[in-house]
Amino acid sequence: MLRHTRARDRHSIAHHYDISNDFYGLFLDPNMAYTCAYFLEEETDLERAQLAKFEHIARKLRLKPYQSLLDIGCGWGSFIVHACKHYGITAHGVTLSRQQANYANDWIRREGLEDQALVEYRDYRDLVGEAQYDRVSAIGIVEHVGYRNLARYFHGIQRLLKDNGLFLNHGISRAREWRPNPGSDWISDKVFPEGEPPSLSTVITQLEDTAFEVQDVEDLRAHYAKTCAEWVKRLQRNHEACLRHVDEQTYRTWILYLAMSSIYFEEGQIFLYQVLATKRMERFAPVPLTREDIYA
Amino acid sequence: MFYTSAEVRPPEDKTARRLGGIADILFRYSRKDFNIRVGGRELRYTNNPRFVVRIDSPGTIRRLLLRANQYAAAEAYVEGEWDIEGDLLEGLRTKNTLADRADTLQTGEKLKLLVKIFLL
Repeated sequence: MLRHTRARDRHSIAHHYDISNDFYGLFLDPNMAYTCAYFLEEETDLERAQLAKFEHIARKLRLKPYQSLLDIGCGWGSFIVHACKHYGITAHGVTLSRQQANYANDWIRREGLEDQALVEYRDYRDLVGEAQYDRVSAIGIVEHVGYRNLARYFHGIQRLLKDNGLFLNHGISRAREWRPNPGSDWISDKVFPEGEPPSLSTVITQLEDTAFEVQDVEDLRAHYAKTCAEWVKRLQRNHEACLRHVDEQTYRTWILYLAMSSIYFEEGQIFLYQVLATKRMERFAPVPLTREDIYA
Repeated sequence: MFYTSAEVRPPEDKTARRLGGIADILFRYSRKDFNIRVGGRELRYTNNPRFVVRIDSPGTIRRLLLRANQYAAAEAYVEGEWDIEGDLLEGLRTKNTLADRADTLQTGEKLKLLVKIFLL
């Protein structure tokens, strides 16, 4: 089990995400989404699939105007901008990468959303207060949190969420029987330090142990295999441009990392789960009777 | 497609023939829809390859086969000691073929492989 102290997490996240915003721009879609996309059709292009993902999450969260959203690990701010623009909510994002926080706030300003949204460089563990947010999203965070901190992570969200709130956890999971192997050691040494994707059952158990009620679970592993394959293609197409930001070895490290990730998703060694949860209460949960509204 | 041996170029080159022998044992049960290039030598299975595995030297093959794990292979990839031309994902899926093959190698095949590897 890894230690995941504040200092180590700061270092790990900076290692992975502070490489250069421009470098990420060379393989991500124009909205800088660095998480699993949602392909409505086989041939959907990456940009539309990323927007469809944010739309899918917004609908699962049943966002309504004037609600407040906390986006933990908000990256470059893509979900915050999408949700503020299309759902009229107010949003607070936190990230452990300074480059991401700066980029997100610039983007929020460009969109004229500075009265609605704020992104801070801050550790999720340092968020204070109780019943602050109507909605909490954590897209691609739980794999960074570490087994040791899972209970704290879910407790924190339980505390920050209002009673009638909804929480969506979108993250990578490993199989229950997973053990470290040379391939995964290489990834954690060279690209993605201290990643610890918890199994789905661990996520569910933690949610149950922190008085959440699980409302919905969806596996998007096939979507993540496609997303990573798209990133590989874009990186390959932009090989020359990449070399203006990183050296050839770093370029090849990323090509191999993304390509192997695609294969691991394809082979079912890793998964992507969206888990929707509400606080456990002695009344009906604040969700409709069916899921039909998500697809309406 | 199965059980065919690689067409080796240049055919008179001893190392090329040994490399061909190694590939034929390792890929005995694989779909032979790819080719291999080792430095200037070529091992051809098809005229219509889905990808080409390019390895810089016989020494890299020896090193990677004797210490066969994904960590070493990844480091060698980053250093450019081997590469996939064409469909990268399709090429990388070969790792499973190789891992499965490692379990089915007969003692005789293992010996043959070792001899060829040391003579490279």
